[in-house]
Amino acid sequence: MAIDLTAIVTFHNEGILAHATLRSYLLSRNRAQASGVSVQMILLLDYADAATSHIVRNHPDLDGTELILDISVGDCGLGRNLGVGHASGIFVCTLDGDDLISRDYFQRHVEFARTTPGRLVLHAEIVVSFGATEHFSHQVDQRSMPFTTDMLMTVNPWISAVFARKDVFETLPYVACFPRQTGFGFEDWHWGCQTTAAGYEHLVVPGTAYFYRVKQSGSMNQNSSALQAVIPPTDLFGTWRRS
Amino acid sequence: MIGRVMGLARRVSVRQLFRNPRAELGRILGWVGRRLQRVATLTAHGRQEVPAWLREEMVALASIEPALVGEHGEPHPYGYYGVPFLTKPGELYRELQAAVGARYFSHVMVLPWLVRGGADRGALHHLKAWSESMPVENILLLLTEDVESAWLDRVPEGIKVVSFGRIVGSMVLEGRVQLLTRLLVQMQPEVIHTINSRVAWQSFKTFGLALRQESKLFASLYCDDYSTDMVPVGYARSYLRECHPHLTRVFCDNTVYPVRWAHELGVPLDLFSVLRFPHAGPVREKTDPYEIPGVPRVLWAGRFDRQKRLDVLAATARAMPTVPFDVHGVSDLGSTDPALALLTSLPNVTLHGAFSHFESILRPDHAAYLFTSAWEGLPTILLDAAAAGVPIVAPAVGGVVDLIEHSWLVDDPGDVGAFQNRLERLREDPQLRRLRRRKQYDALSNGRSWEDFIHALQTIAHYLPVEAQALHRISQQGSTT
Repeated sequence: MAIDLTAIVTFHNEGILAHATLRSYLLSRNRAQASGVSVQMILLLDYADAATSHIVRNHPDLDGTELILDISVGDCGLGRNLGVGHASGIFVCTLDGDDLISRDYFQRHVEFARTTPGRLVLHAEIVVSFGATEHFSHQVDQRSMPFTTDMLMTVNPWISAVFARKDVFETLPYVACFPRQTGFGFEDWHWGCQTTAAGYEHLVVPGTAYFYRVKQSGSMNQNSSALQAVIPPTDLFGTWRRS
Repeated sequence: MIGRVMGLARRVSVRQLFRNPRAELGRILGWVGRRLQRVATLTAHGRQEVPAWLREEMVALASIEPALVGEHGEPHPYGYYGVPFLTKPGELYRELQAAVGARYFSHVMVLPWLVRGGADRGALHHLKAWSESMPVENILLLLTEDVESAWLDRVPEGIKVVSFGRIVGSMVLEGRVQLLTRLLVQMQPEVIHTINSRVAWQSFKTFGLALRQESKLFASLYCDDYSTDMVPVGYARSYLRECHPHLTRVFCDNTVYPVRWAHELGVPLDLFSVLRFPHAGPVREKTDPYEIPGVPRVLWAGRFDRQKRLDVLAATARAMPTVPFDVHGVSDLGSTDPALALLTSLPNVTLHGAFSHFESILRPDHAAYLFTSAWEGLPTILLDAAAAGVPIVAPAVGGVVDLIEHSWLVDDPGDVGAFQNRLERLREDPQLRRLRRRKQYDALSNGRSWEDFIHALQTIAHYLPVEAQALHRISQQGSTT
């Protein structure tokens, strides 16, 4: 029987924080499976340090079905692409290694995707930022909220945790950025632009939340920000092809 | 509201207000500012309560992640952040995109404007060189400031010109930089060359690493400007240290400033290419005896601004009351400037207006062209004066030494006596006039033809299309066999 959803989680050097993250993700998986939604977990250890690797591999909530991969790409986008290559689910969602999700996150996403027509990319309805800051925000839903593609010039209205059919990720893979070497960054913002340019609609799944841990420093996105990176060229803002 | 005013009144220290009014006022304004900022934030993002279902989730997950709640287990008082619905930059970008068109441009020149001036002349030389080395359809000129560009008609025909500054209007610098960067990142030209565009320099500084992934970045710098305290300022000082890793090459029209910048700023000397600007037209060398039958006059022409040392011009004219001075130029100084007031009051000075061509203001009885200035690259008007065959008297500032031998120049740009001395000698001695004229012709014939300029550019890696570079190699081989 086909797997409904593959959740791809990327770990780097989250250390003990990875414990809470996996507890949350695996709790959501167990609740989804109990409701009839099958979930494959792919856990990517991208240049993960020893502490993180130990915590992930020995997590008490693992049931042995998870695919744990040691990879050495050092780039969020490339890591996710690699995960997609191993994904068996009809749908794929991406998650970070130090965050949490609402308990029925997986189940609600799959059910919403099954019942909503259109070429879709889905997001949690609410993002709760906790840790170094404490606030929450609604993510932008193209159908029910004010939205134009012009917004994407200056702001990324969605976080990096996204959900779509697997073929969307295969058709529009993430672009490697390596901000320190190239000055390009924000691969998730770029992916949002690419999918929008390709005609996908970005909607939110009611009743779902993503708990985004804000650290003082060190996350990959904060890297892009600190390095004053810009998103790579995207189809959304025009193409001037060399002859 | 009354309560807030009372609250403010309670915070004011009357004693402090008398003792140090500026500090106390500053403190009060700071308090008002913070209140306003808070009101602005609340207005922008609204005040929203955490939905009940979300609160329930937080409580349920608190045993997994203690940081979701406070020390006593209650959810934090989470503030609300609304994603800004900011569309104006995107709309402007679409306008820019439409103005640029869909054609690919391999070479993009970014200027603030194109007006009468030496740097603008330089830009036109580069555009002409590009237009001779590739199809003009490959070239795009972006003007980043919303200013009338009087010299647009001098841009080689067929080059696409887009008034970036007019489209983006009064947007703050950060926004303009963001739009220019996005446009250049998307267009991926092979070459981006800026001359004096602050927006482009800021873009190179902030996003140069990204820009140089697909494009080679070039800049032209000619000299420093100076503050009233004679502190060197300008794009070289503001940007070179941070931009130099991203720049393929910096062009300079003189040999002096690259050495100075390398020495004072620590940027590598081999970043620079000294590119002698050509003299625009053919030089018709005069061979007449240069006798002046009447009273020999002195010509001065330029911009009336602080850099051009009008005080030195006025003092020199005052020191030579029997010598007629023809002064051409337009004032940036305002009529209250003391040097301009003095100049206007001198009976031996005739003030003329602006001029378009140097040749048109030169009279046969001009014994010398007096050039006064506090700092310079290599002013192109000196090339015009040299080509017109009038002896130049100038200070040894900046790149002037590249055109005129140092021994003839005035060492101190404020040394009125030295200027007077050279002018007197030229007025009295036709042989000296002929000698100076000859030396100036010689200087012009040394590496300042249009062909010399093109050949120099062809040696710069990545600047011209590969075919143009190959042409240069072939012509070099031809000349050595």
